[in-house]
Amino acid sequence: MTNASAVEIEKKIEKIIYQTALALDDNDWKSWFDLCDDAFFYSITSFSPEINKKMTYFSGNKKELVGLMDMLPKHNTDHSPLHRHTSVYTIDVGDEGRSATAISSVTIYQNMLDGINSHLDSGESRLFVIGKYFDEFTIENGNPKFLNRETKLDNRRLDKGSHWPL
Amino acid sequence: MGQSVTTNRQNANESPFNDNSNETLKRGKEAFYKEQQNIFKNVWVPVCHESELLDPYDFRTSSIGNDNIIICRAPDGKVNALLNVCPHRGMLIERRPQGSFLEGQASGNPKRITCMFHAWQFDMRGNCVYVAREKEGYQDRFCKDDAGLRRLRCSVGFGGFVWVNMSDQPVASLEYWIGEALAPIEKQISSSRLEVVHYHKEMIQTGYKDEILNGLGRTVGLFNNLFFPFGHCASHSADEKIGSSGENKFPAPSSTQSIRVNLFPGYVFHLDGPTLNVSTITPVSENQVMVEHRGLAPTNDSEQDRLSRSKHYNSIFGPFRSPKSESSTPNGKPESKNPELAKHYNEEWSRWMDEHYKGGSDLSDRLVAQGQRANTDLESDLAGPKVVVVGASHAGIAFADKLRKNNFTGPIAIFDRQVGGPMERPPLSKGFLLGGGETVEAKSLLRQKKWYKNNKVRLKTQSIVHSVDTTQKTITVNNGVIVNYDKLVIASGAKPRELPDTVGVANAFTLRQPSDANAIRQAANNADSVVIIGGGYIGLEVAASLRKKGLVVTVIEAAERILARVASKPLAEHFQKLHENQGVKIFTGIGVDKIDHEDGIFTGVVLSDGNEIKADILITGIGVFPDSKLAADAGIETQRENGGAILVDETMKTSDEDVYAIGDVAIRRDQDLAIESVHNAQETASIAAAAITNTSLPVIQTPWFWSDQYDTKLQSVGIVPVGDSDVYQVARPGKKEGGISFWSYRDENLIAVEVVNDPATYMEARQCLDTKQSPDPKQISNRSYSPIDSGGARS
Amino acid sequence: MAPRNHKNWLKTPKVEYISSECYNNYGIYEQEIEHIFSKVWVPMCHISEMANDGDFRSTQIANKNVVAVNRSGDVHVFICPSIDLPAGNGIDTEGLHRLHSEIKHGGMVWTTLDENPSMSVEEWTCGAFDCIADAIDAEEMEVFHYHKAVIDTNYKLWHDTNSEFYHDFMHYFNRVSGFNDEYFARKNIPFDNGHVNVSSFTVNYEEYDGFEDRGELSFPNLPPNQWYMVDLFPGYNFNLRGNAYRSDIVTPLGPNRVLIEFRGYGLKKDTPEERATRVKAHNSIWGPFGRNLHEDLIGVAGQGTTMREGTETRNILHGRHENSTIHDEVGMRHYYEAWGRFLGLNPMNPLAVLQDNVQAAE
Repeated sequence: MTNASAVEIEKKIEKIIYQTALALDDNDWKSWFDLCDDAFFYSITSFSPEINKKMTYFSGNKKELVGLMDMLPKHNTDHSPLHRHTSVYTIDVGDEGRSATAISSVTIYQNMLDGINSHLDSGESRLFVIGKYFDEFTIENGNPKFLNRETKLDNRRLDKGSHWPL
Repeated sequence: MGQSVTTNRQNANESPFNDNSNETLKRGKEAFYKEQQNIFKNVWVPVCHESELLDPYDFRTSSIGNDNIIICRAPDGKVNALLNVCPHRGMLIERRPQGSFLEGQASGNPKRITCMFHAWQFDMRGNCVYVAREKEGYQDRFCKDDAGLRRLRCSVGFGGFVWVNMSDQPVASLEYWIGEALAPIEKQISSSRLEVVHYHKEMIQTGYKDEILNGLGRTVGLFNNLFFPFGHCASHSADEKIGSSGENKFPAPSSTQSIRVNLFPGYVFHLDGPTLNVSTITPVSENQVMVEHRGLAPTNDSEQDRLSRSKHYNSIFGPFRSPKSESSTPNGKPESKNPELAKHYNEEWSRWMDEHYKGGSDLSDRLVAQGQRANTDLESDLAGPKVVVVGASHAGIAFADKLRKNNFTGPIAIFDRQVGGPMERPPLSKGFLLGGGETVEAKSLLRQKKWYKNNKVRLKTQSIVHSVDTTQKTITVNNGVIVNYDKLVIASGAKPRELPDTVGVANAFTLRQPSDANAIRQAANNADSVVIIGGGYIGLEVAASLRKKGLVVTVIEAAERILARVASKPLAEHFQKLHENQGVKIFTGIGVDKIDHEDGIFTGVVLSDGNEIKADILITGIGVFPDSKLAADAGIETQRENGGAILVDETMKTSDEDVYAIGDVAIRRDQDLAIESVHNAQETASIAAAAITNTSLPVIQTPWFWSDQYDTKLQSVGIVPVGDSDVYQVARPGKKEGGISFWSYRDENLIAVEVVNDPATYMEARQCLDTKQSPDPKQISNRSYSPIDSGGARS
Repeated sequence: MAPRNHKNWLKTPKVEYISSECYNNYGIYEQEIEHIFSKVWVPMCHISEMANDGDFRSTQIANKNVVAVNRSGDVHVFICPSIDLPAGNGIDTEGLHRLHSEIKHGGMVWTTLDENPSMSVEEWTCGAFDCIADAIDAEEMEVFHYHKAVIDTNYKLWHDTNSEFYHDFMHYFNRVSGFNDEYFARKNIPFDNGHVNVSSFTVNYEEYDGFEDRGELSFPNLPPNQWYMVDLFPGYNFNLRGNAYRSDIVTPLGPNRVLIEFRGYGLKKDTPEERATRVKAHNSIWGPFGRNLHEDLIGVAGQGTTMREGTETRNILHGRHENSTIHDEVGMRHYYEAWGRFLGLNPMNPLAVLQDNVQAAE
């Protein structure tokens, strides 16, 4: 692996993280899944000083996620769009360029739509959650795909919560 | 642990009430709630524009006075407003700001408003159409019929805005409320179809009143002020004549005029150059107000025009407008650049906060004053004596009609205490009660709007005439407004008699006016049973209507039989049977000892024999008394010193030379019996109109009357002198099955005929009585005998 | 049928109801703090949250800061005027006022501000836990999930939702996995002091696409896929669904604001795989990103919106009768009877009596 190709891979990884943020912002689940390997696993976790434990709030493999997203129209959901502001902090390419890990910061805002009292609230943006993405990638022919994403939240207060992955 | 207190429960002490030492905050909050209650829940609010809900099933949500509402378009295109609250457990039914009910939601079906919580579903009019596991959970105690949504008053108008009033009894219709205030821009906003092309909202950290007063002070470049009733006002630039829209279309993209109309308590229509901005306030708390801004443009704008309007709009009204047109000064104190406007606003505000708004005299005065102003043009071109009519009854309207038909050219003004245009009264006890809606159908109006315009008849509703000065020839309306007349016609009609024990009891009604019928209809929609006191025509018609609606109906008549005062015995027996066959219980010859109620709501009656009848609604139909107080107070002769009908001569003239009385309030000196009927109203109106215009008196018809009960139509002609033992009836079978008529004779002379389901016989009977023929009483029971030209002439 | 005018809208309903004033009046809220939350036994946390000697866990009850401390395996609870950490180790309780406390019902730490409680925890819960006692008391449990929500709604509206299953219509998951004859035969069983529990039935988890049967890891002595619910007055809920066990603890923050703390529990002896299965089962329905919890919270937030302070008083119907089975609203009726008794007022017209009380006090 040459330095140049490592840089190239890093660029691609950065790009795919930002593409994911855009797809998730648009609730475009299909585009998101297209960026994920078939073995992709997703989780939302948090550490609770209250009970002194690391917790998992949500998890699923790709198949489960596809199923859950397909079911969403049958559920009553808060449709207030989420807006993810992401900054990629570190990317480590390893395994001869066949895998990589990345850590990104994420701040998610909720743009109120049908949450509480839409006459007053709709159109207003509120801070929803903050945290970090811990991503693992598999790389084939120089093209990265998500293998694992752990969204580590700082929040334990989540109010109404959400039906959507973060 | 000596560390500082930090918890994530800092909100525990958030409510200002928690800190009892801070009385100012508490008072501020209380004043805020009072404003919401007294003002915002009683005024017309432009909640959105119809272009925001273009198609059937489209909706928009909003809130007024803290309560959430849905505005939706029904399949017939009509826009309805409903409280956005599920009648089950108070859930906010629709959470989205805007959308369509055409598609089903997660818990419900297409074309339904669904509460996500328990899947109760409603249609676009607010009818409940589905309660999940209704029978299983409520058995027969409660059903979807009991679960309709709260419907709100809603009108679309003035440039296509949707106006909602949270009060069921607004102090004024939308048209009256706005009055002339939008006239300066009316031509512009109604010249083309508009749509909302810009929307944004602002949360301003100040009380709504400060924000409005700031706005009033900010009339940059606007010099001329116009003041309107109800606290509305307008300002416009001095260099342009207001209302001059040139080619009578929405301001051309080059337009430069600026007109700002401020509707109380905080809705601003601002036409500036080629743009229209409409801002509406929603108070959020005592020191926070939301302002919604809408920009409107003609739907048929070219792309280029739209662009240039948008540019202008954004510089003046947009969220990033230039500082000099800044429309909000956070935490700022009201400026007083335009103290007159502020004073006008504050005066109105104070009136509402004084709690006089519930139809108080001051408001009514201004209504009249406004009405007069609006009609000055109408009167200016009319010459001749001025006729004033008190009461837009059948008689009053018929009189005005006859007067014009007799070529009377002077001004005619009719004053009426009711809200809304005068209605046909007979249907009120009949078909009207069967309907499900709340509004009065236009077809029930006595006359359509254009009739008043075409005939130059000025109608003033919600106007109470307090006194008549026969010397000065004036009347006083609503505590102070004085109107003069040359001829005064009193057509104030009659008022229903009430049982003293029913006064103030909820769900106890009499029936005379549309509002009574409306109230009965609404109550009946939520009731299972009704007791009707009085077996006269009104009582029986209501009985038939409510029975048809499925209610358990009991009729109580004190006399020995029903229709004792107005119909022959055989006819009464016929109707008694008819009702009993339909399942109505009729008690005769028995009185009511007690009206039972719980917490002021009617629950039943106790009869004079001790029997108790439980019911949800009580309707009293025990006759009427003439509403003659006005005349009696003015020294005009009535039957008794303090009441009874107004005595008139054969031309309907009262004891005063220039005052006439017609309809149910009047009785001829030579008569001993007052007949309340449409016939009487029309005939007395014709007579008075003829007398005033000096034309020949109309031909007097034999009195007639009709009644509909179930599918049975009664038509009667002539007056049956009940209690006259010399009078007897002969029954005549009808031409078709179910038809029958009862012919009343004194000796050989025909006096009256009552016809059931046999219109042909009615026509024959009427001809007999009009031409004074008396068919042979011995042969009349024979169907093959023709009553016409049978030779018998009445003596 | 017909939409209603104002008068008919406000008409006294033909079935049981309470006034929305119960949910938004500040005076009533103050009375609740004084006469209910300052008197009852509160399950403030779980013993596993303070497993070691010296561990402490804090909370707030009736606007008072309270801390529970592990003293050599014994739990002592104190009123603590100033505390800034939710949990930790090492706290000086010298001079602090100690409260009554007990460990009971699956290792919950119970305390009360009442100086002289007339009942023990067991007497207070009076049998409401019996249906799940064998499952939650057989093995040591520990908390694996904690999160909280602050919602602009009245705390009782959250408890109402937990006390009635008629809102199954809101949850697609419940509609497909639950609706059968056995489901509709589940009974609401009232207990003294306003508590209620809901008897079990077998949930068909696999009816929801992507969900799995939960038979294998059921709690001890619990037949596969059973579902029990204990609703404890005035706002504590314990929910046992097959292999997952959850509690909700409410802390009212005002008449129209509530803090809800959600916990998920597993068995201490769980292997990592078993624990992962339970966590997943908990999250799929009850987690902050689960199928049902989000829906439930939208529901009560909506009620909180229409009933916020300053809204018009309206009637809230509690009138469904289905022989005390699952869609019967008997749970709420039972609750409000107790609630009315505690405060000495009539839930149908609470302010009338409240004002009388205030005047009498003055």
